[in-house]
Amino acid sequence: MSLWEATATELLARLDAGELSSVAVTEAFLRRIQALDGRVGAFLHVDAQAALAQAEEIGRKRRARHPVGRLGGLPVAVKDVLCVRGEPTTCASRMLAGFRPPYDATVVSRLKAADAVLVGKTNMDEFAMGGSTENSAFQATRNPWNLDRVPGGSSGGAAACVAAGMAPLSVGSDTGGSVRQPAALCGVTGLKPTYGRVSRYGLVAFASSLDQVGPLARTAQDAALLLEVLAGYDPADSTSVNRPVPPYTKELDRPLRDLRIGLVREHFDAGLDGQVEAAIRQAVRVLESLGAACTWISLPHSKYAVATYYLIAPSEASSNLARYDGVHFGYRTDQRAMLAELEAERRRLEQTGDQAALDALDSALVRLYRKTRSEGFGPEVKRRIMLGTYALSAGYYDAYYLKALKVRRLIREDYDHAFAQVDLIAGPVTPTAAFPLGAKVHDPLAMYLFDLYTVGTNLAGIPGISVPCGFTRDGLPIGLHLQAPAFEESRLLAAAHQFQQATDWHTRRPALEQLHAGGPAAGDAMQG
Amino acid sequence: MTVQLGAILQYMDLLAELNTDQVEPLAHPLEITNVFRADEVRPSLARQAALANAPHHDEECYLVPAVLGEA
Repeated sequence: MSLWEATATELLARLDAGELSSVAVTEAFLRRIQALDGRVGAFLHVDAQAALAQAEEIGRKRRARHPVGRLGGLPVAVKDVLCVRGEPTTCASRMLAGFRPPYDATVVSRLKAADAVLVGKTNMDEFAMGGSTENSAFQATRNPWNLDRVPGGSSGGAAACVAAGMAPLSVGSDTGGSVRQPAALCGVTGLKPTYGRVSRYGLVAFASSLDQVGPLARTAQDAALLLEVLAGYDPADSTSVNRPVPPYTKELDRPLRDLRIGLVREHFDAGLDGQVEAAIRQAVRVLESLGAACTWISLPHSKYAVATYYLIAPSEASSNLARYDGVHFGYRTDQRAMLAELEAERRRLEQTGDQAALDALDSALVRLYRKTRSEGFGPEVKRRIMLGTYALSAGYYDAYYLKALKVRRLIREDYDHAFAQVDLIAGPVTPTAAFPLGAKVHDPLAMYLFDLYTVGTNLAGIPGISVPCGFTRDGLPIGLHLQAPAFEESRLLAAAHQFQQATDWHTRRPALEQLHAGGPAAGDAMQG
Repeated sequence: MTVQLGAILQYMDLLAELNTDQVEPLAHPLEITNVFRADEVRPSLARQAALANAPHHDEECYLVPAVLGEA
């Protein structure tokens, strides 16, 4: 088996035993990136030299028998929404092209302290807004299982790089499903922790009451390892919760006997693809064979979840993205051209004597904001800022934003009632498997509706995990969604881990060496 | 863009089906309040670091087009 085929847990055992060096491991993954990322496009930025230097340093520590961090030399890819001091952090936006943060996100500090080798920054939907990574201002990321299909989003690069064996671990962010959904579409394991479990300091904010950083990996065991490093109280994040972090990797074998699992009847309707439904039902049978008891439950306000989310998230985003004004950092419009254009407009208006228009004319600073933001943001970001601004505006605030906050409480209460009856909720992550690139770009509402199973988790602030549970006839991955009460990540990881002991979906690999996008017949035999 | 925004807003009308008169808004999943730190002076970002990503600066401040008076 090649090094890149091993799980993070397996690699770590061999690193700790001195059988392998971090340099050898890092080199193996860097070679994979070099060979494959030209076609997959998972990474926005890779600094091979820096990664090898980190790996060498960790190797030195090991040889000198100095203590080594929990991730001891494992390569980790980081979604480009997290600040890494001195390194490019773009959020896949022209607005932050060239931006190098003056500080590390707390999770990045924790990764460094744990001796992870930071191997690169991954592609995403711009400012985490999207479900396909097609909203990146820089490049598309392709699904390693079929290069004509999306990897999902917004953490598409983070999911694709793990699926393609370019990194054993990656870190993404999830606001409405952005870790779990790409994990499902790419056939990897992705977890969104309870809100407040992982620090948001240094996570570029999209929606502050919904965002969470989460691990992606090949297995639940690997995700547990990474979560142990990421999780924990951070005084720099006022929404961080001061609760001890359980040793997730040691709690994976908690027996599933008598675990009560609920299936949401509202999630199994006409909108759910037949093949996805079949895989989920089969996965539930596996859980039952492990001792769990499954029943039907109701989350009566499910049908309102997407509307609720797509009012709250854009409202919070309109506030969070107000900081991008071209003044302190990030993109600024060509000021000289802007001033010249403004001056020309002024003269034209003076000539026509249109006093009203002259009075209304932008000041230079306002014009700076207007042009900077028009040029720096992509269409989806603009769409959400406008939606949010509108929903918060006087006269509409009650009907839209406040209404959505009230429905949010109803959704949360649905979960509270459900968890009084069951210990876990199981169901699909997405209504279909990965769709083709370009299929939904002109229909934002259709794109939003793809999130229907995952947004509730963020609205309620509870944890959720996506676990590979099958493939469509076309060879596209299907993910099983498990949700648990707040701070019950151990329960989720144990169920996922034991599911993975009883199945082998998570061990399958895309045949990347043979695939090429829309290519001639030579490659077709290997597809689906 | 206008058409898309219109369609999205129309979809939001779905929420009007619900009677939420007796429901308190939930702005935040963790209903914690008053998360303060001790009122102590601590080091903050050094000026050079704060200016490092500035599109336009004079080593001391960020520069923008004049706000008062003529453009």
